[in-house]
Amino acid sequence: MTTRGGGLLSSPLLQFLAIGLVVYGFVSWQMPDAPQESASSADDRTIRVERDELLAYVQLRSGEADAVGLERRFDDLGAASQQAWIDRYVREEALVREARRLGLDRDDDLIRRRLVQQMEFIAVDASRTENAITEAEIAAYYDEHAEDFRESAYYTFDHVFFRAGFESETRAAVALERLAADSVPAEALPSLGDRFLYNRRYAERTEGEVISHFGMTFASGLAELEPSAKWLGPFESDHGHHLVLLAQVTPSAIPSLEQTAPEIRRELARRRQEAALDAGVAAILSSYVVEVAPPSPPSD
Amino acid sequence: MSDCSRVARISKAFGSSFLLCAMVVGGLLVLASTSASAGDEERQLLWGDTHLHTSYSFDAFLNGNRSADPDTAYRWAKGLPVIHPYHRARVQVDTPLDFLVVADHAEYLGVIRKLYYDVDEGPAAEFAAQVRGAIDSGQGAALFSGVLPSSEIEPGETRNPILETGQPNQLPIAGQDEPLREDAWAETTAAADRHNEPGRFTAMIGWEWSSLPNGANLHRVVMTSADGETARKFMPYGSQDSSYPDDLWAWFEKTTESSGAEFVAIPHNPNISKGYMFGATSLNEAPYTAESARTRARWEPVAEVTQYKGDSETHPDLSPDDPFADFETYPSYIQQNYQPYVASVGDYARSALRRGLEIEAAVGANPYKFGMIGATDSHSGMAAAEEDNFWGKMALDSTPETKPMFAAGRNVDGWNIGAQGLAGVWAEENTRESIFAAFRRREVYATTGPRMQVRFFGGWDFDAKDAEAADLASRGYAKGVSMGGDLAAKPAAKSGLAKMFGGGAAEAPSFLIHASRDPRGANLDRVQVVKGWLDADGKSHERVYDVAWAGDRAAGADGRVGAIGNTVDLETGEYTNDIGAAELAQVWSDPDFDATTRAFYYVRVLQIPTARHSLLDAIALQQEPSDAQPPTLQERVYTSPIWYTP
Repeated sequence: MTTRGGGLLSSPLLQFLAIGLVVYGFVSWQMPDAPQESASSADDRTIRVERDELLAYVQLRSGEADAVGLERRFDDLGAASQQAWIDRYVREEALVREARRLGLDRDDDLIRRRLVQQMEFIAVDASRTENAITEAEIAAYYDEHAEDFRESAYYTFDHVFFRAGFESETRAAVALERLAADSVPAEALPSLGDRFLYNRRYAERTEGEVISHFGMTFASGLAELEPSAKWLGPFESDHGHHLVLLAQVTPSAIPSLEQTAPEIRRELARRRQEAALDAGVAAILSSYVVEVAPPSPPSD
Repeated sequence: MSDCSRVARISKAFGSSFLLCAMVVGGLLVLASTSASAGDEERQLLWGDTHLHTSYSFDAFLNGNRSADPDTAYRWAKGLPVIHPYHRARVQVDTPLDFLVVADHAEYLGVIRKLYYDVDEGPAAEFAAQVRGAIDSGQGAALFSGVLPSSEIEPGETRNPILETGQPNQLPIAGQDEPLREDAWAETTAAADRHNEPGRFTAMIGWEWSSLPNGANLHRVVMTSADGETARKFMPYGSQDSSYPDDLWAWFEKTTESSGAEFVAIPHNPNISKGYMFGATSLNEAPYTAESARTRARWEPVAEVTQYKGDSETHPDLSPDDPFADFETYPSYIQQNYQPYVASVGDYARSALRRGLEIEAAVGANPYKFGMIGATDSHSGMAAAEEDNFWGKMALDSTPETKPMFAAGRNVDGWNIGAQGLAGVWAEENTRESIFAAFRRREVYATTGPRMQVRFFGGWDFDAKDAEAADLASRGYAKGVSMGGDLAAKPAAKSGLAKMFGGGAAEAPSFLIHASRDPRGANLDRVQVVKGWLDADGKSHERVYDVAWAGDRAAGADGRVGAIGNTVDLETGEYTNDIGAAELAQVWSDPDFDATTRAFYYVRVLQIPTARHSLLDAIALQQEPSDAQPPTLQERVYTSPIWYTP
């Protein structure tokens, strides 16, 4: 068993040729002639297995880009395996002809969409070239998009809560004096204040979680504090007032190039696939002349 | 991190000195606790999905997920934008998870994906070409259906589903795919290590053991606290190794010894197990013994009771007196032929917890002593449990146009799928070890999606003030046990001093409960306690108590509180928080307590009604909502139980 996408396909020129080849094979197999609209004739009921068409079919179904290698390998197959390929080809050809006879290829929207999807997938698949992305490309991407990788700030703090509507700010201020006077450590957080909806202690929680539990005003206030051994406040939240003992802040930061490289590599590979798809579609489009019919005049 | 462990050490010191103090002067217990440290209160609530499939699962790949791999899954869980594998739009969750278990099927792990993308030569080449042909011509789902069992066993039958079936349907590559599986296991465990950030985000290694004899779903998610290097010492055990759970547990025993990895198994979808997940006997028809019951309880401390394929708390046929029992039922077995759905005792968590009490009374140990979580079982790589940000069970059924294609002919479609659930975990810190330990002690709970925060403690001397206290959680840990724990018989007063002060303990156990709404979500309707107990004949019973509720509704003569109302606008899908409460806190004492008999208690919290994803689809399509699903639902939490043993 081997893995595709290795050395053979690493050069952009070969990739392009390979895509072209596959696309050509697909187009010529999928749309051989004008639709056969004539009544049933002897020719319609005969399936001739031409070697070239069979090989093109095998190539398409096996996803093999190397046509020469494929032909050699096909000839090396045992008679039974060759016959199995022929049987599959014949079966599919017969069903496709019947479908065409019913006109399914012309007006069935699902088939149209399926054909488009398949074309796109072939173009993308042939460009699976993640290894070809260079360190320099990754570094350049990092320089340009560093901000996209920014990680949230993380906070570790305790708080004492005073529910809104019960003189919460005054009670908080009084409690703050008591906490300051007794220099109460966080580990011995007393049962001061009121029950809070969520937690009294937050360890390495993101800014987003702080916002969702306390609201925007409180989170903005927290962002301006420095870690301290002192209780600070009162700070207002969506729920009331709080005294805060802020133990640790990990500021929002951008991870290093080394940390983000695997992700950038995947992103670049994805872009390359998209570009390959665009190029493949453009190559097909360039062989067509597009004429847009003018709107027909109103009938009355 | 260092700060976290420092705090943990300090609290341990406090905890043990407190214990000593309580032993010496039991009567001063209440006084001591109110001035004690934060104790275990620092346990933080972490949210995660233990059951997420990627393109490495054979069924996911065959049903339209060709691109969302483990990396994609972790990126989604961390809140980063990703590309949906079917419709290719950019999708993102703005409520990231704290942990994720990528749990792809052990059977054919990564194999279809590798055949499709990578295999051109060798013995598998011909089947690889068939796979490509089937998938490229839109027949992937049909190939998948062909592997499903065709069942002859009706739900609720007592024939052994494993002995009655021949070889299960298999792909032609079965038995020759080991090199491909090994590659996939190496890749998926490496991805977990790459995304694991202790303190910030935990990527727990796991897989799914997918035993499905005769369409009886016996699936378990397996999860380990081990790192990738350790996990690569073994291959994930699948149903190709054995369809019997007993063999899975034996493998855990052996592999823990050989590799050092620790495991838990999490059964899921008992609702479609035809009565076999929580059977009266073990699956090979052996009656439970104390030893076999303990073995099961040891390896399976937690069950997944709500997920995309329906809710397994209970069923209206099993709990006819529970007006909220009819929730997200899923009437479709995983098999080729259609069989009408029957709800059996062995299919649901509540009836299984009751059966566990009965078995324990008979043999001396409880095989069904499990905590409860929710998970998604998403196959799209997206752990999406939100009604308004739901992306389909498979990748294929992620758009309104393709919903009818899901499980066609099996009595369900993509709109039957429930956009649920997640696991809430009370853990010291966000690490593999800490989360794993929380599962072991069952300090976990299930939500159908919304991140409602729920604390639940049982003890002998909670009083009403504890529910109002700023240090509610400290008091809970100091004076009782948390969810998942055991309540032993009421301790006798230990000293004259204690008696003098009133002895503290009441006759019945009391429960301290605090529930808060999802910080970004809808208000709460009510808090309920679900109790199961044994009578003098060893037969089990159940009852649901309304214990705290929003607004000024009065309980009726039967103790029940009427409906909260419904603010959902069916034209827009919007609700308002004009009804319901942001938080509910209560100390509840069991009015029907009998100290001589076994019982369990768990909490169910109901949210006010909100729009179901199928209603949001109907609004988007500008169609009338279908009658097949309710337009709105009351999302809910189930905590792990607390057991009372006399």
